[in-house]
Amino acid sequence: MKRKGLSLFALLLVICLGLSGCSSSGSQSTSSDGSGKKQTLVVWTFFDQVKLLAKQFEKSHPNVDVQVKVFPGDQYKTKLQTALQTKTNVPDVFDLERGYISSFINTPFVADLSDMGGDKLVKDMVPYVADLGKDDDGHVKAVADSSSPIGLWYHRKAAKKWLGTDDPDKISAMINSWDKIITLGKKVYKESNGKVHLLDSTGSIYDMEKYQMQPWVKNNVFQIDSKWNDVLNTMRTVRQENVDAKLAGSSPGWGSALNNYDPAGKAIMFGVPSWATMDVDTKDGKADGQFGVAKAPVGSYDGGTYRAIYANTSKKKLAYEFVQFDASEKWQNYNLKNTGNMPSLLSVYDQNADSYTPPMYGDQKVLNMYKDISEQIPAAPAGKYTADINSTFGGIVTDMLNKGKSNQWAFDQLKEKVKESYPEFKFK
Amino acid sequence: MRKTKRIKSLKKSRFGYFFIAPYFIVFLIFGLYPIIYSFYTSFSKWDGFSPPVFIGLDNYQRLFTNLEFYHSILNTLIIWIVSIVPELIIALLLALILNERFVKGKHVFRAVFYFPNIVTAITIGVLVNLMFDWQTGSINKLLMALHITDHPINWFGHSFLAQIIISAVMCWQWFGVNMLIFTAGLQSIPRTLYEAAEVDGANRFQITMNITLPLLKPVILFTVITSIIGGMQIFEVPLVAGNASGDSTQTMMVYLYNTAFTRFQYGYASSISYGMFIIILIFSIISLLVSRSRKKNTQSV
Repeated sequence: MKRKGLSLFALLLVICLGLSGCSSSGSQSTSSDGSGKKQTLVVWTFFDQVKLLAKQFEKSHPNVDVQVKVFPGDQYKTKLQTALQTKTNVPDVFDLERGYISSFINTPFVADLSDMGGDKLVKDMVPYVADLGKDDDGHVKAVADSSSPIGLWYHRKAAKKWLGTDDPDKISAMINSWDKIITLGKKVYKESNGKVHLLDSTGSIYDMEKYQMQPWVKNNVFQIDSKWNDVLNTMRTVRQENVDAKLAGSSPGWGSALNNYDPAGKAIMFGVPSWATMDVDTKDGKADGQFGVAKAPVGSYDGGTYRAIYANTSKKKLAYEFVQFDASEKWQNYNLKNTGNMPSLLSVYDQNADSYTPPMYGDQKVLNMYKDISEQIPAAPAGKYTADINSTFGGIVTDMLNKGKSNQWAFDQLKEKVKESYPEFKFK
Repeated sequence: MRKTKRIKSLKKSRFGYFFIAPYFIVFLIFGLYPIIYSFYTSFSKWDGFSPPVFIGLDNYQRLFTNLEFYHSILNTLIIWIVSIVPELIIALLLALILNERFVKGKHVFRAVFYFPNIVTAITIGVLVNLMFDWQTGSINKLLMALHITDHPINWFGHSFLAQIIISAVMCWQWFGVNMLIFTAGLQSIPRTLYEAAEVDGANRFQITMNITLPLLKPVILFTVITSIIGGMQIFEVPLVAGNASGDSTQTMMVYLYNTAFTRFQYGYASSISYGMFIIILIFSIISLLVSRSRKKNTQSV
């Protein structure tokens, strides 16, 4: 009997030890009453700079302790999805990336910010930024503190040598259509004896044009915007005329070309979002004055980080205060000056337009340029399938250019792939 | 009588079960349960947000009619075969050479050959990208400097070239591990057999072909089966190296990953994992049957 009892105890101990690792730590609040004790807010993100936001929020809310948990890479969205589904260990506030935001904000796990006054938060934001955070019914579900317009960054020394000027306005005027870019690119290639290319990659054209198109899927019907034909023709001409340096975006080769300021370097211009400063080596002032930003023929953006609130959090009010702070002028001014992230509020653009000159852009006041670009971007919902189909088509278009195939070949390939990935769609 | 009593008392003791319980509890929760749950999921439509909806065999029907899945199987097989054949040959040759008495510094060589396996797949992927970059890669620069080619080669723009690169990386990463397994097998062959063969006047080649390799067969079979299981699940390097022309580096695992974590089609992704399980099972059974039939043939001779 004694032995049986001992055995039972041992078994219980083993089970307890085993399960203790699975227990939920949850988002515990040290206190949620008004007794003066600190409240805890748990924030999940994939983006390290959120810690800065948390610190600033804590400064203005001394009774709040913001615990930021950073999960870098692809594991983040899976971890978040699992937490939401199982309703265990769910953060009060969580970040969503543009690529998958639509899958999350159209679920009941995400709080409706419109019910809490969220429409006011996004009223003065760049229209495309505001719309990406809205669900299919137009309710605000997530808010971003920054915009990410794509500009054509150029190396100033190279621009002076090959384009005759490094003035951003003059260069913007020289490249305000794809035809002008092709003509200029041909000239640069010829004059440099085939060493220098005007553009980094045809991928930049693709990235700039993709959000100008009709959505891929409308009422469950897959469609290909006829405007793609012109874009693909432009990309083909750019490739055939050696206007681009064939540098795959964000590849190591692309990175080294971006950081090479020799006027005889591979490429003069790079189609990059405003946050691409993280790809530039700014150590010891190496990049100071090396870049200018010009406006591309079309306005576009790349990426975006949105903040949302867990629908069932017990700290909804505090979480909303956090999101409100995120959308405030106070934070976005601080964020712009300390990280270089472009604001989402148009008013912050205006307030800093004449004073904000980051060292890498020389004397250029980039905010006016970025504001213009941001306002040109068509506002549209994120779309559940947009990121995946854009990425699939991007790969196909690269193949099309490398193998010398026709536009129709690319469209057929895309249709086949989409049919296999999303059999639920109807096809015209 | 006393012996039987002792065995009985051993059998009666239940403490042993408690000692092995942690492993089985962990296995049941983190191993068996996900396996069973993913089997259930494979019969459902599930995006990871709303509850799974039972749809019968629809996912399997989609799987068996999906060209992308067959394409991913073909990619996996090509990458696996192109990597495994040289990998095993190099591993075996090195193991045989390093098993010779005249070789000095064997341990250093063994350690050095094992090093590639310590490097993480992410690092290897980045290295591959750097080396084989179309415009700025070191390999193209070298080839052009040696006048082997006039224009840089778009390595990942050609389906088969991309597959060869991934295969070469896999081969480089794993030959050291197989070499160590072969070495362990070689060291278990009794020295007396070699000595007897030497007394009979056999040369090194004859000894290798008639003694070493036949006795190493079980070890070779082991490495082949583990390579099949591992090779069918090639994932990290093709994922990090990025997509190549015609999705030629999209292996079965990469396809599964994209389906589950990019498209949030967890039900269909589960059916892919069971499809993979069947394929791996078939290949493992084939290799077992081949080895058995050879064994029988040898015995009957």
